[in-house]
Amino acid sequence: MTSSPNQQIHTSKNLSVPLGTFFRRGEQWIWLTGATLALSLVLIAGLLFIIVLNGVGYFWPATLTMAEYRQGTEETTRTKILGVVMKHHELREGLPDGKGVRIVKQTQFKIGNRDLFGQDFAWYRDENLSNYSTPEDAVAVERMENGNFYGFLESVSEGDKVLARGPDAWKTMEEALKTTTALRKKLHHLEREDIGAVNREIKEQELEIKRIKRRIKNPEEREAAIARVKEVIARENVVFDGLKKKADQLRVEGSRFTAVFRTAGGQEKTLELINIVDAYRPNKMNLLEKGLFYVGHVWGFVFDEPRESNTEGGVFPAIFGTVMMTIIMSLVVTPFGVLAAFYLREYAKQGPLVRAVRIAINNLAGVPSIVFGVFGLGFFVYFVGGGIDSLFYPELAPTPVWGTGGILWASLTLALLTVPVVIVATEESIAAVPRGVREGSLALGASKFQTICNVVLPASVPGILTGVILAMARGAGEVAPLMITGVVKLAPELPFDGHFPFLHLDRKFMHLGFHIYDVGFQSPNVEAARPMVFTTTLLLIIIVVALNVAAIYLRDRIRKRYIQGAFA
Amino acid sequence: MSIVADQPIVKKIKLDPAVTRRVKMIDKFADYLIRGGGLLVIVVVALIFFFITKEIVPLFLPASSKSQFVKGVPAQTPATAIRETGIDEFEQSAYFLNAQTGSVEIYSLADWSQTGTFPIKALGEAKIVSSYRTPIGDYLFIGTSDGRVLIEQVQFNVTYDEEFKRVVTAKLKEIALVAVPEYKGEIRRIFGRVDNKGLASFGLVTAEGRVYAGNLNIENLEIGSENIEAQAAAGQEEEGIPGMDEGKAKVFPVSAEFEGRPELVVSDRESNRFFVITDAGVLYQWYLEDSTEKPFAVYRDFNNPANKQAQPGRKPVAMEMLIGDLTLLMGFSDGTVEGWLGAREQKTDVLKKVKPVHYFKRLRGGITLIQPSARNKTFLVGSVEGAINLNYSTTAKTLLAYEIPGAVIDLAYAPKQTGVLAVTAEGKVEYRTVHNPHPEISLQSLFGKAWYEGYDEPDYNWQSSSGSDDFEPKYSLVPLTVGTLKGAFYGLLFAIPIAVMAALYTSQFMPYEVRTYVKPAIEIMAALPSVVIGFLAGLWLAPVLEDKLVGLAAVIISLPVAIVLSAIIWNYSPRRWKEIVPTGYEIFLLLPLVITCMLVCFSLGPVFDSLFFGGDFRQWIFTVTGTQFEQRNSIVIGLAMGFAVIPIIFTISEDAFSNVPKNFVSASYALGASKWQTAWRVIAPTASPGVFSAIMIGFGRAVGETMIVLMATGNTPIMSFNPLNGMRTLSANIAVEIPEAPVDGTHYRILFLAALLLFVLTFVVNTVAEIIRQHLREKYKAV
Repeated sequence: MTSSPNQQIHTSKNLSVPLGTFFRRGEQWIWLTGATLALSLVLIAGLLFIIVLNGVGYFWPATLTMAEYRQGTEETTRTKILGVVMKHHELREGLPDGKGVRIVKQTQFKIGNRDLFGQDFAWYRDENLSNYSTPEDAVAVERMENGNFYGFLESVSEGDKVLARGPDAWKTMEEALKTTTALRKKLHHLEREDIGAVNREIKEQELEIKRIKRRIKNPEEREAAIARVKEVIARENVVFDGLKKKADQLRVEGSRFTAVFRTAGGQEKTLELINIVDAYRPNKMNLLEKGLFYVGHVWGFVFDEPRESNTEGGVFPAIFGTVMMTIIMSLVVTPFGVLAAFYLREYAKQGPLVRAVRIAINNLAGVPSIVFGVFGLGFFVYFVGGGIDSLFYPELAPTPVWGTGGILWASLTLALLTVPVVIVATEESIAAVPRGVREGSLALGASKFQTICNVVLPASVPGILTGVILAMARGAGEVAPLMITGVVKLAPELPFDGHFPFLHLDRKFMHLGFHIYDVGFQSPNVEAARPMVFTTTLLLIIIVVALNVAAIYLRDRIRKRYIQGAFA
Repeated sequence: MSIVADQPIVKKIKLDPAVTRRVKMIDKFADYLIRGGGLLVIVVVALIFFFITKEIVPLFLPASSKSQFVKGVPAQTPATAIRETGIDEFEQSAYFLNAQTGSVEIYSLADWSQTGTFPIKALGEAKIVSSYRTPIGDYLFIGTSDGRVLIEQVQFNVTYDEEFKRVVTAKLKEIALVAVPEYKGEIRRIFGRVDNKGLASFGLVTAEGRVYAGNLNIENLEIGSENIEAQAAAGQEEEGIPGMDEGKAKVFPVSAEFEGRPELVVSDRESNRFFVITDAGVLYQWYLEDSTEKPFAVYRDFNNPANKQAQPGRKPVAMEMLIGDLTLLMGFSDGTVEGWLGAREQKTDVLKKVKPVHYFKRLRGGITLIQPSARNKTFLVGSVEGAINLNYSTTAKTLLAYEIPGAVIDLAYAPKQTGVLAVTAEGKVEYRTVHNPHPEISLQSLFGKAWYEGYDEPDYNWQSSSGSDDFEPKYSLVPLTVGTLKGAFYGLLFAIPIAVMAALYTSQFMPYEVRTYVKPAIEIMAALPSVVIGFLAGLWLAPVLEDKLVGLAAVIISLPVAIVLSAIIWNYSPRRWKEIVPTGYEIFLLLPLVITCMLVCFSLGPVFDSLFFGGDFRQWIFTVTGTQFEQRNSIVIGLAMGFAVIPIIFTISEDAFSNVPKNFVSASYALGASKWQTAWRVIAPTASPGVFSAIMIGFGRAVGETMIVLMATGNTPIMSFNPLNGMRTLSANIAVEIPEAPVDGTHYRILFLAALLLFVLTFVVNTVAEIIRQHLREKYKAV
């Protein structure tokens, strides 16, 4: 509002001026500076647009296109291809006579069937493609391994018996798939939970033997104790064998169901239904079906575990890891950040030293995150963690328990990284509490701590919250320090589960940001993984932006309240 | 006051002493808690700095040593009979070759008691005349009095007893016996090497001064009852050409017109590079695969002015090769030591002449022997006067120097580099423990040029690991620092103009209502995780830009032109239009304008490409500048990094611009200045320290950025500011290498040093920026 005078001067006359005056006044510069702002906004919008564009469409059941492909110049060698049209590209090609270039149009198909063709994607020249069609009975099969399969369903069998053939086969297969999916889940549960529990027990007992060897010096007692533990192990091994047998049975039961598919080129391929995650006919689905399919797959993406070295399936462990790490981090950073801020503002003697500390803390926010990672690795992991290991787990040496990266160390490192954010925000909001209110409280006989608890703290809660949310947003998006303090590409177990002691702070974990880096850059099949990375990126951005929007909203509300309070 | 006295209301409020006490106690407790907690946080923050420094300090600590014992050699043995002393890996036992009795004797390092004797059976009636011990693998090459070469190996076997105590037992493996063709006399000098595939190469000098080279694959050989004769025969069967056959020895003469008598000989493990020094002080060099008939080069002048240690009359008296067999070490009669490296004189040279590169500290007395380490490029030298120096070749640094009484006649350097055994001519044996964990590091090797093996000149280089054991680590932080600055430079090149100008526009020409929407948008931009920006830059932008580079250039050129033209057109447009979009709201015109301009430029890119660059821009770049276009180059980094730092520069400079006191603006308008004139001549200069600090903070952010660089460059450590290739930055280097670096090793500590460098750099930059900002704020307040 204070800028109104200059606005009035210039907006009042929307007159054209001569070119000389125009340049002398520097009007073109206003436009140029405005253009840089516009450019920044375009860049942000463009980035979000690209991510949304690439990330949203991944789960939409894409139309399967069939085409005839002419290999070479011979008219006779025609093969049929079936797949999803991915993108088009123009290629410059030197003419055979060496004079000039011509432009060749190419289309990329996702042809799937990696086990048969050796690759998921293929480029075809448009001039060699003809007879496009979208056959209604084309099937897309999502498999546990080897990516998607595209083809046509021939028949479904149970053991040697053919259940259905031709057009009826689809219904039969859908039924059978329900059975096999249930079986697969059961099998997964058995392997993961029951067999996992036995394995843990056996490992624990083996450790016990090591402990006994260390602790009991008397050879006879030692032998007796070891024998007792070995008995337990033998018992557990019996249980293990039983479970294993059960799992094998389930596997055999599941592999009874098979389906024969035919590729567009005519190759036959038999798939075991237990290895099929989902099968659908995209060309036959209507909009509603596609919508439901989409929702189902988004659900699966968020809540399922990854498959095929993270390039397929869901990202649930990564989301879980990110959220859990952020929570642990905020649990640490909030009390300490707030304490430090209250100390600096209310208790410490204001002077050059406190000013220096304040500047130092402020600047810590600008120290590269990798430096914190290096500190976390050296201090938390090797120094503290290694110390704990040599004190409490000597029998495990040289296998580290705490002396290697884990979710606790990663969270503490990030807490250190984000503590300046909380301190600065808290200090600001403490400073904004009017002096009168504070003095009023003291005048009424309240002690310093009572004043802080009942007057200053409630007034500054929104400010603290803003700081914590900003810290969480920063923490959720940070990757570099995590890479060296505990994030892995694939963690077999979540850091929180149903086994005692439920919270496993020493475990390594997965993280959305690292997932993006890993799948996008370290994956063996980057091309196939790329759409998934965009979707993961979208997810991460949604989390981070939502946190930031919340913080901005909160901050604006506080500002408004103080402005009103000042004028009231 | 009088009112209070009259009305006893105050007295009625009686404070319960218990409550008061509790309140006071809580207050006291809270006081301690908050003070304690607050101080703890500050201490932890300070701890970061100290802990990182603590990890680095050992790099720069000097080596230290402590003499463990001085004992006499066994009574009946003359000191000169003791040769080829060696120590096992765990420093529990030592061995030496007793030339008098023809056996290998094992001693305990704890009390110097003899624990074993292994007579060399293959020696037969012959005597030991010369011998050599390889630094790696404890192989002994023995030259006999009847013209044969014996290859033996001392093997250490490590077991653990009941109480988990380590027990080292030694044994002697007799490997092969090779005869020099048509020669039955003494072998005066011998030198040998065994590579990791089992190829043994050796060089020898006969009593008449003839020089031979030989090699033999010893992988599965051991002298048994039947094998011993077979080996002897094999030696005689073949001669002439170098090379190797399974189990067959080749011994062939190496000839030159020697000045003086050949005195010292060394050979590399490939039987190729071969050196001989005569008693006249002349060095001969062969490439045996090239010719055995005549030397490739002869070096007579060790005292020309180019040599830093030139000293009239000095002669080379000791010669060795460092592990890797690329550095030739020579010790001179005046106590000087030099490291010679092969370097090309012309770029086209295939075979390299050697030249002095490393000059080491001079010892008191002539050099008696040089003993290389088995693990890295350190080596020991001993002198006639009993001086012993420990040197590191790459940096030419003397790590340790000490003296013992009497001439040093043999030295052993423990494989883990923690112990030295010295034998003197007076028959004394000194065992000394050495602490020297980081020999590679000096300020010169970290920040200066170093002349590495295989290079033709000193260079800055970062190469921390390699597959082979005898690799020379290259720890120059300069290429990484250059890469860091390069990334930050290109990022700022893109970010500064955009961010500062946009901030000026937002603060000066934009109405408050619009500003409240623009600023959060920029804040969201600041919040985007760098892994997202890096991912888009690496996987989306880099391949797209490869095709659209011309389009980008077109945008850079045409966008300002288009904007200025539009501004002029807008100036002459009807008043009616101008009322729809009043001044200050130009952004709504500019947004579509910028988008259109970019779309047009990018879609016309191929047209410009064929018009100006013959249709293939990358080829054009290559022919004009000679640099290959890398997909992940500095332009991509510049755009991505710029994107990451725009918001921070924008926010801080916007702050600086809008905090300029309003009366400055009013005064300027009152004097008739236009809006731009006011902004440019009044606001900008006043706020310039604030803008400067914004840029510094942006620089700090760009310097430390990890994920973007990691994902969007090729991560090659090169020293070039060329925008068409990539870089490797300190931060990305840490992220990539620290998980593999062994804890507390040299590499690990250097990565900590890189982190400290980043820490200090950003901390200083940010502090300076912060101080400038505070100073500016006070100045504004004063106005």
